[in-house]
Amino acid sequence: MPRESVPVPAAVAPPLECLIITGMLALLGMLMVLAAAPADPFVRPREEMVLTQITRRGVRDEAVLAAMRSVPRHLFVPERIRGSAYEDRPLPIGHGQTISQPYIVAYMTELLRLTPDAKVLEVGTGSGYQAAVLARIAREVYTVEIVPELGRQAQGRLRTLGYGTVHAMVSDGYHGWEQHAPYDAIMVTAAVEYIPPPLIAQLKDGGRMIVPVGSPFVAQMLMLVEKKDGKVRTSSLLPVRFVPLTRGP
Amino acid sequence: MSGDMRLNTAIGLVSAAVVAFQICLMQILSIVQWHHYAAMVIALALLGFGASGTCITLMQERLLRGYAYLLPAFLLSCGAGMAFCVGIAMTPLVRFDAMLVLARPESSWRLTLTCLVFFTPFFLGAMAIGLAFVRHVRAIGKLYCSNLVGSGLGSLLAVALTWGFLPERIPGLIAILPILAGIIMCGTPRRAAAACLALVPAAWAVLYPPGLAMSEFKALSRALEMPGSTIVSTRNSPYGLMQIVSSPSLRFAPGVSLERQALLPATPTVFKNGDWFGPVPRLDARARADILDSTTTGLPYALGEPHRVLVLDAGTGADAAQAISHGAEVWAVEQNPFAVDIMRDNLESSRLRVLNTGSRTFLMRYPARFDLIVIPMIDAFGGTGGLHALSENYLLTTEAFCQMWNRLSPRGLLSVSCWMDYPPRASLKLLATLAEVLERSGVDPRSHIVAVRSWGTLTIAAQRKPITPGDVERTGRFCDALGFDPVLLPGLEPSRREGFHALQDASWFDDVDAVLSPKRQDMPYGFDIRPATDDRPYFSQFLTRKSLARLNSLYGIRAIPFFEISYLVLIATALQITALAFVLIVLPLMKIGRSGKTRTLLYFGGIGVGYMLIEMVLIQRFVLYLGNLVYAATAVIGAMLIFSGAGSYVSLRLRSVSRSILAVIPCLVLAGAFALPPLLHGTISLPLAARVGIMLLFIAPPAFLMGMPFAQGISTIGEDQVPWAWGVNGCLSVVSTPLATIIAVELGFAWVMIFAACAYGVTFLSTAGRH
Repeated sequence: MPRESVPVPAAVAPPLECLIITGMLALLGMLMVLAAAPADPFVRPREEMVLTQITRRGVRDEAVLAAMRSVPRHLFVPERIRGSAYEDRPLPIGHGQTISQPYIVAYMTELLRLTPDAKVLEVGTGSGYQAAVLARIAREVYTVEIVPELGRQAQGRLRTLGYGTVHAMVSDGYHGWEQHAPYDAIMVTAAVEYIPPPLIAQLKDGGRMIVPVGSPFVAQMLMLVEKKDGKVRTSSLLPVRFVPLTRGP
Repeated sequence: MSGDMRLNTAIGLVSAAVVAFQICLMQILSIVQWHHYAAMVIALALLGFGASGTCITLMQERLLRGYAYLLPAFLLSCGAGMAFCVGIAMTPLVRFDAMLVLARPESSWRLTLTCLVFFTPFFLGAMAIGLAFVRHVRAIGKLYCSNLVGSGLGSLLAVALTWGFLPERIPGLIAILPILAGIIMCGTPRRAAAACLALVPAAWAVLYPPGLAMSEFKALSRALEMPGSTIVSTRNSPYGLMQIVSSPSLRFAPGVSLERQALLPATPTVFKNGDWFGPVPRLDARARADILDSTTTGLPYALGEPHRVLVLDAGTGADAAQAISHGAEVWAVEQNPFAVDIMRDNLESSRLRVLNTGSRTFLMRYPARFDLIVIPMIDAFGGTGGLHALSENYLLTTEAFCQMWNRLSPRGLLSVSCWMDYPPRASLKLLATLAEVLERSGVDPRSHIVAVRSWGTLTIAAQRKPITPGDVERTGRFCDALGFDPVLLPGLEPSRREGFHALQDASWFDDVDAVLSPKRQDMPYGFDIRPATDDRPYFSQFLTRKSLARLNSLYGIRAIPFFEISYLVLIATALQITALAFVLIVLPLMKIGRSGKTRTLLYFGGIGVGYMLIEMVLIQRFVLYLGNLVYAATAVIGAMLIFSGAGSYVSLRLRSVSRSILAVIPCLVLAGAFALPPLLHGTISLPLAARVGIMLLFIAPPAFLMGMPFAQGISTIGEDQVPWAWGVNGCLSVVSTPLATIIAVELGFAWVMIFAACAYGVTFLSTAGRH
């Protein structure tokens, strides 16, 4: 007797194998999505930092914005305040020093008008964060820190994070780093009551230097020093503060 | 020793210790943090006096029952607390950093904990005094006398100790006094012998003092972080803890020209209470002067060759060295003896004459004339964000500038420099002050003032003779050579004002022009740039309500406290103390009831407020007269308390005239408020001994009378009210301290005296209808 085929109604549940395969596919898909998602939980805060604190305040240089997006600021602050790393303020890093507010880092970097082949000198390594940001844009960064402990910590941190183009030295920033001079740009990250003559000498003709001027714990004015045909001209740019709890304009 | 004498001695000792400890603590906290937080912590700790009144009221019966052993126990524990509390406050658990108070929540808790730690010895000492007052109401006149005289001697003791010991050792030494008082009051020799054990912590604190953990943000901490930095000299005195740091990285060249290519030499630097004070001038004055001549302070030497130069508030002598190198005969006036020694040691020159006195006192006492008068750079580098807002500065008042102007020779010149702060405040206030002084002398400021600016500093030179074309040319050459911009110069083209250094906000030039015009009073500006006066000598106080809005727009609301921090901390202190004082005053009313307490509140509150206000004004008035802040403060406090003690001693014998005395005090205060300035001005040229005599004669009558009402009042109220009255007096005395400063800043010292008279008037009125 021929066997009659029994039509399978459309609404009948799929066989178990199908279910297993579908489930495995779904699981695979989820794993892929998870794998594609960033392992770094600070990516989003960093993106938000760039958007809300930096872009909205007028920093437009794409290279600077890209650098700010990519440098893991949280790895440059003491572990106990890592959760505050992307907040809109400077943070204490010990030894009476601070890591600057993100906006100020971006703004000062933009002011230098760096090109990819630029050679930059930073005076005041601090945590090393500013040097890392500069290294994302410029060809070479030379950074000098006077506080030995801070300088050594920053050197180790920059090496661990793979910033091979940053050259750090523990020394009195007053003298700059003559061996590698002249520089296309110089950034001083501590308030100074005098602009060291060696820094002026080590600035390339046509180069730019950014210096905060004013009391270390009150308010400083960011100042731009330009050297052209051997003549030095300065401009006050923006009031800033380099102490905890600061917020830029 | 009789029982009475033992008790009076004990009260005197603990009172002396409390005042000495307060002064010592002020210095320690100013060293490890900043003075405004020091004032705040101490004001809160002093509420221990008010709290003791509350505590005794609430537990009066129990405390009186155990009086025999509680009194020595309070005295001994007060001493132990004094010995230990500085060490406890320096432990990592308690230590706070003023810079981080608003940034980290745990710092606020640490601040509270610090206040509590320091509150303890004050509370325990006040408990001992208050308990003795309650237990011996009938002898209140003598006891209060011991309290006041002891307090007066305590202030003298504190000054004496700072000469001989480092700040960290002093609390242990002071702690010996209340412990001795406790031993005296122990009753039996056996107990006294046991109580001697309490001397161990005091001895420990003297021999092994706690290290003072300074804020990492203090200038000294940062200097010592630099490699090769060492403290080469330390000296303590009532003028502060002076330390010289030698470092290959410390240099001094404020706002030096960018055209100057030569290296800046390392310079040992002097720190006062952990803050920058000045460089040590080198023997090679020529090299040092060469650097300063490359700053805007070289302007007066570019304009002429002064033969005789006066440097006021000369500090460690950098400006004096500059003047010496220009061949001038230099008179350097400095109040701080440590700075004077540095000048004498490092600037040996037959042309230098160093005078150890206050600059204003010098101006008032010496009639000599000078070709150049120099005021060194105002404030620390970049301005100080209101750190000095509450520091009385009698050198930057209109009266001071008038005196300087009158001390200039016919070709003389007055030079004053400041940092270019932002938002601009100091520069505009200076110009406004000079403009007012010159106008008062019948001179148009625009034809007598030259000003030049570097990238960071501004120097203003006011000449007795009108500016000549030659002066214009010399100023132009000076500016061109060093890359400076002329700001004020006859016939100056506006474009030259920003030739080398462009300002972010060029409206500053308009403001400069506006403050020099006679209509400067109508000039709208976001900060208080009205000239300071001797009655309101707060040059660095710029804060107004408008300023808050401007600072908010520039930096954000959270940054405001960092700009005018002293004044804001003062207001915060006043609010906190007032709230706590209210609680401490109201709490005991739940036990003793409210009925009939208004009179007591007004009576003792009026005394507490009035006394402190008068004390504060008299200190300020005599600072100029005696020429020395530390000694004037000590002399006034000591004299007032000792004369008041005498008044208290005789008060109960004069009870029949008590209302008359209360009526006389406000009148005396008011009369004194108006009579004092001319009296001091007329006699300032007398020798120091005569001036001290006049001071004592002036202070004695009111202080004597002001010592009477407390004891008289205590003897007339019910015994259950005595501790409450003691608490009210203590609370309102503490509240009136920040209040006095707020009134002085806003209205001037004359108004503080008027408020003091009103406070005593309230005391007088509260006795209306009583016989």
